[in-house]
Amino acid sequence: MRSFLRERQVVLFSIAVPIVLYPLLMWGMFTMMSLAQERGADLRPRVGLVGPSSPRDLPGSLADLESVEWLAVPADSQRAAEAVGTDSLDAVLIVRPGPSFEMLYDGSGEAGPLARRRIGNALEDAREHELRRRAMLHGVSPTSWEYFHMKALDIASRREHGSFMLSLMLPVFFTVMVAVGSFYPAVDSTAGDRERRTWETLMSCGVSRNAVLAAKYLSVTTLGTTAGLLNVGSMTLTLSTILAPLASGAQMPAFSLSAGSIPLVLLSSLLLAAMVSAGMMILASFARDFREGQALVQPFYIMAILPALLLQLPGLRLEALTALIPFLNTALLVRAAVLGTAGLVPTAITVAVSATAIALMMRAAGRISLQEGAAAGDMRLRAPALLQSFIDKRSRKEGAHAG
Amino acid sequence: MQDSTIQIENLVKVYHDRARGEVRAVDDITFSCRSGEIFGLLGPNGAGKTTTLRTVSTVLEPSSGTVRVMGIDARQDPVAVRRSIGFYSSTTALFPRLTARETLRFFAEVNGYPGEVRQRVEEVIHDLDLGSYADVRVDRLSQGMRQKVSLARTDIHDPPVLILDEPTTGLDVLNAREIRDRISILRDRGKTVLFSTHIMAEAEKLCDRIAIIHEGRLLGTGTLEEIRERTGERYLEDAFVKLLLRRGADG
Repeated sequence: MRSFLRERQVVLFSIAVPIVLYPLLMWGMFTMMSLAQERGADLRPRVGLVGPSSPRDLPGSLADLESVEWLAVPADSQRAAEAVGTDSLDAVLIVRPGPSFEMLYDGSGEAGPLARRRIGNALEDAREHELRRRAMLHGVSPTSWEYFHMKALDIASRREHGSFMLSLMLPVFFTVMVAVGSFYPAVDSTAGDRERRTWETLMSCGVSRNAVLAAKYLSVTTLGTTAGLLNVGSMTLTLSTILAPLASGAQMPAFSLSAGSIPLVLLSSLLLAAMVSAGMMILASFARDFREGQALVQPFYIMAILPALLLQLPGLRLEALTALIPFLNTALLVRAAVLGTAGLVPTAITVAVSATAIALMMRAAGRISLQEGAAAGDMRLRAPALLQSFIDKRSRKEGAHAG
Repeated sequence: MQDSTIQIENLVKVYHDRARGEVRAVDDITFSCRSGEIFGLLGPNGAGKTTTLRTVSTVLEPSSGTVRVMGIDARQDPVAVRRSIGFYSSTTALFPRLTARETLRFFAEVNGYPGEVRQRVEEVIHDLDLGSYADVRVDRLSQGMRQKVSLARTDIHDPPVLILDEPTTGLDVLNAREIRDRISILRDRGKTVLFSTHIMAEAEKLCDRIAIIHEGRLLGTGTLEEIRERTGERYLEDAFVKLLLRRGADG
């Protein structure tokens, strides 16, 4: 473990990245959003007007609309439409008697849809204003005109808002961080040891090889779990400190985890790190050097984080069926823990399925460690050999070096 | 054979090479090492020395034959064998990110040193004069320093048997001499040292008994005097060539 903690990449990916990634991501995201908002406010789409001779002749607030630049265009709507197509205009508003309005805009850029939105809103205001005016003329009061009044009230607490937002983001980043946090230690402790020629130093020590592998495995799992927990802490803290100033005046969601959710997040972190570490170490133990180890582990890494990306599907939650799917179940357990909806049965299934997967991988690792090539550091990854390690009790392969 | 700490009988190690097919890296070797002696395995590169030593240290498994260390069968109880030995080879490097002191402490604990680990570590550091760089990370040490730390690592749990595969390779004259002196001291303390080298002069200076090995086969075993007597040659190099020619003539 001490050796791990002196490796720059392990410290970077298992500790530093989970802590600093979110403040940086949030800062970047909100900076971009502010820039986009500023740029949107400054942008004045060029709109040609067909029909009235001046914007002053347009109804209601449309006549005073300054967020678009009105330009004189040919009275022929066909030619005006062609002008939009050639980029000299972003939109054309055609006013016909009635009045009726037709708008042509270039939807392939930013300015066209912006013009449509701004003019559309102004027209809605104008229509509302005109209808009220006419209702008044017919002696209909504003209350009667409204017919009914609807009041929508969000009754969710600040904490519930915060939990919902956390439940959308946290499981995905959590899964990725646990995988990233386990990745370098897993490769370093196996393929890295081979490359540095320290593997055989350990394998010739006076302890069983399974004990050596178990110690390595526990170190990798500890770092993976640490990465996951640091990630949860960092993300919660970042959201509450960065979103707080932005939500002034509005109801600020409270980004904090309930005391009851913390043991479940810890459990998910442990299960996920234990599964990911076992799989990665098995694969990396076939590599001769760090680079080969990375190449072998990469597909497993993608496989481990892929289910977390499915979390964006609506309605996906931890239940008996989804709890049967390794990797997805731990991510869903984190979500359920944050929302406070984790049921006993799906949680128990998640633990059982994950523990079974871990046990199977540990069994394979134990079998692989019995092979001579595992000690001598010259084992090659072949699908039949890997499969055999799961089923054959005494799978030994020769793989000696001549001296 | 009664007081033998290492007994190797009819050891064969076969491995499969894609290009060369079945290779008999060690071919029916028998010898034994006594307590308190330096037994040298002498032979050119590729003779089978490293394979023999890796088999004795249980890193490799014999294809046939038996290996016993301190009376323990390496196949039956490899962990007990490993606990009785300290193994050094070019394939057993040190952890680069640990200091010399941390390395010694770690290996004393892993190998189950029965006494006070801290005291033992300080004792070995003092003994090998490692004090000036005991707290320097291994990756910042010179080759000679690393080799001394490696030798200390091999002996840190005070095993009765040391298996050293070409421990002076890559060292300058002074460092190589220091390592040899240290091996002699360990022998004088009653340890069995199974030592391999391809340097004839080193074997002459250091070994109590020598086994000459070539292409996986044992050409002869005995003290330096016995080998000289058997071949009629004064220098080990000449004796080695003569044994080789004799073997060729015998078919």
